[in-house]
Amino acid sequence: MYTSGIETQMRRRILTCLVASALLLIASDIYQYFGHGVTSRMMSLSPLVPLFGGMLQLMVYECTHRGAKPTAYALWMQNILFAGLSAIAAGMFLWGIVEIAGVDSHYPMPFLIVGGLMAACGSMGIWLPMPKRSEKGGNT
Amino acid sequence: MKRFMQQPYRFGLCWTAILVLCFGFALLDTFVIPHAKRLVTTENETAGDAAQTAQPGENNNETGYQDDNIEIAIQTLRAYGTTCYIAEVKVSDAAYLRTAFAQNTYGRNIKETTSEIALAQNAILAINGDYYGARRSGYVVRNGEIYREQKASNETDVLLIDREGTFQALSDRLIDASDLSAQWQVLSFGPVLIQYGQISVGEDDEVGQAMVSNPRTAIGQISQLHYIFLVSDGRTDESTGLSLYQLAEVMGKLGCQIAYNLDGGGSSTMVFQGEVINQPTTNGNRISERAVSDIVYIGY
Repeated sequence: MYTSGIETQMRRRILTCLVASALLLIASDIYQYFGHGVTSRMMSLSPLVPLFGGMLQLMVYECTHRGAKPTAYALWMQNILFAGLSAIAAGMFLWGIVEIAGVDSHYPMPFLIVGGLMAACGSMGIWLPMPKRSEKGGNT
Repeated sequence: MKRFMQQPYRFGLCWTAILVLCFGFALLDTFVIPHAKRLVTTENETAGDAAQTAQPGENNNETGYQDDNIEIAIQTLRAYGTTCYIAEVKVSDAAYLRTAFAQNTYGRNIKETTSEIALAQNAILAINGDYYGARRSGYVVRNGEIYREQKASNETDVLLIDREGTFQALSDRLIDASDLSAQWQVLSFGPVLIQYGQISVGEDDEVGQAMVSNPRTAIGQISQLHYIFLVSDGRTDESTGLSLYQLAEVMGKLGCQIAYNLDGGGSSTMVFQGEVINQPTTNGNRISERAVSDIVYIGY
């Protein structure tokens, strides 16, 4: 009974990652098209972040946890993972904007650092089992 | 709060709002919000007893200017499908080879068009400079004053102009901050186009990651107190623009023993006696000046 609802939710999240990748790809292509020949590798790679960091991870998770209802903790960790990935993608896009404009800026790095930390925590939270609470009482 | 965040999509919406705000602020602070650091005082820049305004020139017309201290001849030539505007400059003293900041203020995101800065300085001839304001590092010495003693974050060729007006171009990694006090001007953009009369850029070299022909600005020295200022058009049907190597070739044919590349693209502008004489453009669809952070000019 849970399975179809869970699968729908999972597929929705995977589709969100796919759409985010596509939008980043289109945005980076358009931006670099108007860059008078100047391109940015960071901007070009930003669409891969939701693709490999998000979609691929979710697909592997679904395969290994098929049918199991995700706990509230796992859902929270997925939220943090997505938040981190979005910050990384934003940082890479900003890096590209700055690079193409030929200016210096210290702003892209905090996006990447915060996003990286959040994505790492989220990933660990999804894949590592949550420590079980010890049972109270229990006389021997 | 926890219950609020547990509702579907609320965490995502809140995070998206935060990310958009941070992204927007980063863009504004990097490109728009002005950060003035030092106002230029004219007392520091006078060339001894030199007059503060341009001397009435002899033989002034749209192709030349001449007075007791400054001689400028303007010509245009076509090279590689591009119109180049060349100013051959002879001065009696290096003090007439000057630089100026937009709004007479050193800082970040402080910008004016080349013609506006030239007008404020009463410049006879002006070209855009090295756009120091786009970077947080790189030596900045203007009219004998040191404004920034920090090397560029990436190794950069710098142009040193000493108080006798002699050009020297070398890597900023070979210069100490203590060397700057002896200089009249230090520009940080590059690369060096010509060194000791020989082209020093490769055919595939480019500024940053640009890989196409562009409008260009360059400055060179032929001999003592004898200079070339060059601006080329580009990104239009009439002028495709020059590569760095082509720019170096043109400067070499003009007789430069040393030549240095300055900020190009939409910044490339030459102003002579108050008139913009080239076709500055950013996107090729509209001829208009770009606001820049500094200029190099000839004047009093």
